[in-house]
Amino acid sequence: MTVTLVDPTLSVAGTGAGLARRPSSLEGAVVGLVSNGKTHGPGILERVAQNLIDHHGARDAVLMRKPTANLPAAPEEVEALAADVTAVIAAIGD
Amino acid sequence: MPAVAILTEPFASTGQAIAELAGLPDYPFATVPHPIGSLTTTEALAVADAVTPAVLGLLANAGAQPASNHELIGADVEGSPATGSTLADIVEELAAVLRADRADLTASVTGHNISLRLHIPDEACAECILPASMLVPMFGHRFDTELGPGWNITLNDPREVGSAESAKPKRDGQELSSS
Repeated sequence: MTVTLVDPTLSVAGTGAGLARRPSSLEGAVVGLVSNGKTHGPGILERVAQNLIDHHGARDAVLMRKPTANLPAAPEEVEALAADVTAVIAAIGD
Repeated sequence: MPAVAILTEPFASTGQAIAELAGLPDYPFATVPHPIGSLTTTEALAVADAVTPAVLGLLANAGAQPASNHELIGADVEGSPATGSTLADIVEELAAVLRADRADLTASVTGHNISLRLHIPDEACAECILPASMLVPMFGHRFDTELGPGWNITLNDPREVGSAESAKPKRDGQELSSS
């Protein structure tokens, strides 16, 4: 009898592209906010964005809500957001 | 594109695992205390205020720039000490542990530098307190976890010769008494 062991762990998917280059400031930046739809997530994101606008030079913020916390955002939504913003914050709420 | 993820502390290890799978083992996160969903709106907004410097520090090279000590202290969460910790909250928490041995802890802040001062009066059990070589990384981890990365921690430990001058509070720093 042959026993097949299945390794449930994942392996490294890639070497990674590295972190994107950071600007010296957020002056004039439009900040994308990605909410996973959980309680307080949008509120926390919008408050952080407002702090960045009020005190650190960011110009605007755009909120995107994922339909569910369990799945990644749809590629077309990510592309649309990327076209409009200069930085992204993703969060939580649980 | 510069991006930052805000995680609650229990999910930091999950985030780290995903980052490693993506080939970015050093990917930094901003963390906030758990839970979030049960907070009031006021408490959730205070959490947002507290994590803003860390978010800024991860999005721009300028780094987290708490405009003033008042800004940090002012981010306190009324009635919910487990969330939205401020510098004063953390110092008080650490000091409370030291008081079991009749010692105490105060702090001053200048920019990203947190100067901690360990107070060990004669009646304290000096040998009961961990050495500075162990306290500093413990304290540093606590501040980084609660306030975001990038803090320089120094500890003035009267048990160590020559440590007093290095951690002397600067003129524009604000002394935070935990007692």
